[in-house]
Amino acid sequence: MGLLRSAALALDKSISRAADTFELTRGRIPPGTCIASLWPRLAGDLISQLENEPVIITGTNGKCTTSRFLAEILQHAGHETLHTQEVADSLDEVISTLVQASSIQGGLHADYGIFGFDSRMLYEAVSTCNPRLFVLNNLYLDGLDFEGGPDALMREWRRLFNTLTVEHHLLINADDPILCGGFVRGVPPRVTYFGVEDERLAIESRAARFTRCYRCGTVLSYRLVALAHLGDYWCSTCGWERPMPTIYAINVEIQSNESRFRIITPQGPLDVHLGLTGLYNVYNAVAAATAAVSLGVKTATIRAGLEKAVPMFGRDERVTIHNRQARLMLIKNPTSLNETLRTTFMDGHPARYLFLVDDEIDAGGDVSWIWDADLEVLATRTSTIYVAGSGADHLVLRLKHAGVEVTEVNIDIDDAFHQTMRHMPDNARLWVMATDTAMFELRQSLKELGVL
Amino acid sequence: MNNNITLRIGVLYPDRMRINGDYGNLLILTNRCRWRGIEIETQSISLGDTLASAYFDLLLFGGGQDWRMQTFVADDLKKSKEQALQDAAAQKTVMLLTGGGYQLSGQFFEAEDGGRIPGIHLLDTWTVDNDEVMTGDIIIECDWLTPNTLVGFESHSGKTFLGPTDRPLGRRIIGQGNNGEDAFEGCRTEYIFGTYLHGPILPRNPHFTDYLIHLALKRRYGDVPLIPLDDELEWEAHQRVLDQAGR
Repeated sequence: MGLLRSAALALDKSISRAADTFELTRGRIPPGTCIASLWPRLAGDLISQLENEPVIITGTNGKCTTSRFLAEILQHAGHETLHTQEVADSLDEVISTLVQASSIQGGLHADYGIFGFDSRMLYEAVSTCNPRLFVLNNLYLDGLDFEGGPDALMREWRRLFNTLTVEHHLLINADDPILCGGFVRGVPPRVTYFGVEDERLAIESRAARFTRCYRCGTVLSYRLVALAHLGDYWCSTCGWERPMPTIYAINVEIQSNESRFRIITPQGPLDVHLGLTGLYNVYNAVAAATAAVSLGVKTATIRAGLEKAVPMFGRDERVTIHNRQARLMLIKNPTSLNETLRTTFMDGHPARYLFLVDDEIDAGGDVSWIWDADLEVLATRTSTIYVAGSGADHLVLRLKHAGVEVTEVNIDIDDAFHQTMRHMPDNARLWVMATDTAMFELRQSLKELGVL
Repeated sequence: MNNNITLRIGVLYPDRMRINGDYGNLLILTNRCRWRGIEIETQSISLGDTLASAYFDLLLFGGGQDWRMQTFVADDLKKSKEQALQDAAAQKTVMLLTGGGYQLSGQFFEAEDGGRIPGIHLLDTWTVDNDEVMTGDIIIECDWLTPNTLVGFESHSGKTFLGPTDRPLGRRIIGQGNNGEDAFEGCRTEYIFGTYLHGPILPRNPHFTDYLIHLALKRRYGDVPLIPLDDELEWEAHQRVLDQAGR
């Protein structure tokens, strides 16, 4: 690395650190921001220093958590591992992760890099990162912000996957017919399917009622729906069906604080006690375990890594202030909101919710999707509901039409959070359901208080 | 109360409606009718189903821009619904067409590669696919509606152009509208309303919702005065979009 580049890297890291320290930009000048435009091959140059080719994780939901799970497993196996903290909707997040881990001289010492990429970014991700292992989590129509819909996305993915060789390994969620539908006309040479198999998980789901066979257009039949449109499906017209997963979870027990399940792998079963709740996290864990198995990690290490994992940015982070607990739940599309609500119902007590909704368009805050979420389920339960944020009026309107009464509305996120917490009895719990920007704002404030 | 009245709503391709918040349109119509004592009868009309042209008072046709589904839907429209929809239009059935539904109701949708998906000619519009996604809050002014603003959110790459006989739904004040080039958003006839306004369009525009309900009831019940509802929250949400735009 040239002296000039080394100096530029040092300067970039200093600016970023200063911006963070003095809170000039509320953490929004991540490392690499200043230097990336001057050094177009920065990401490639740093990635080439990794001991192994990076792992790419993509899909609609679960990219960050799956990345975190896999990083924990690999670290537990003794590998130096980097991973993106946030989903990369550009290369910036990857660059930031790499620059942060690099020395001022531009040296990078790590065994693995795990990068969660927005599904639209896959082509760019591959050309920059040259990965060998891909994890395809899921594609939810309601969270798929891709022009042309899933077919256009899958067409772009297929173009990419057609170039893959046996050196490339694709790990696909077998339970997702939209994802697997993209491969009905041919699968890349090396594919491993993962999934969940437990009849007790069966739910009623509107999303599944409308999912069509990508081969012939018939509405799919399901032996079991586990989550949104994920499950065990088949087409009554052309016979296309869910591929058999090689690695899958059984005996799934989900409680409001944790989950337990057994993962069946070709190397033997592993019983996992995860400190996170929600079936979506079981899927994330199975995805990470499948990746770990393909990287040659032993099942005992996979189990230990998964059990060590803690929640990431707003994904069930837990904050306790004066004996009152807040659970921070990021909501970003109907599926994540529906599933989060399902988790909160496991609590068994009348629940308290604080919805934080930010609809600033500049921050990507279109909240049209709240109309597609099943908020009507709240009308049948005893709950106390507070709403805050710039998009509060939109959510209050949605709740009105769901037949749900709102206790209080506040525009200021921070104020709403602390007032709500203050008025709760000892040992009570608050479910904070926040959109991305609102979650960022709340977390910043909680960090300043030193409680997060 | 508006008793002994039933509004019949047909929902075209509901499997495409559970995106972009378009389900909200059905929910709002249903609630605003029920709160007034108007019964609602809803029927889904999907791929392969027959559409009884004279039956429905109001048809909803929404959805996103999923090319493959657009092709399935376009084929199905041609095969089994085009004539029925044109008959329904001739019989003064009210139609709310949003997003993909709006695009397919014109002459054609031209993809990037030049391939054309034929439309069903309810409107004289045509749509050309485009690289750039037009997204953000949108406000339009409508000289046929009181108050005269409609607010929503748009997210589309297709550019729609009005034919010589078409009238726009409104004139865009904020946002890109039909194509980001001319001043217009949407397209309307006396009974058909096509638009890119999502968000969805009806919750924050209660006056437009009631306009549609009133118009749809006219066909079978004549002039039904609608009982006023408490729309404070609806107008607050409407006004906030206007305020943000400095209106």
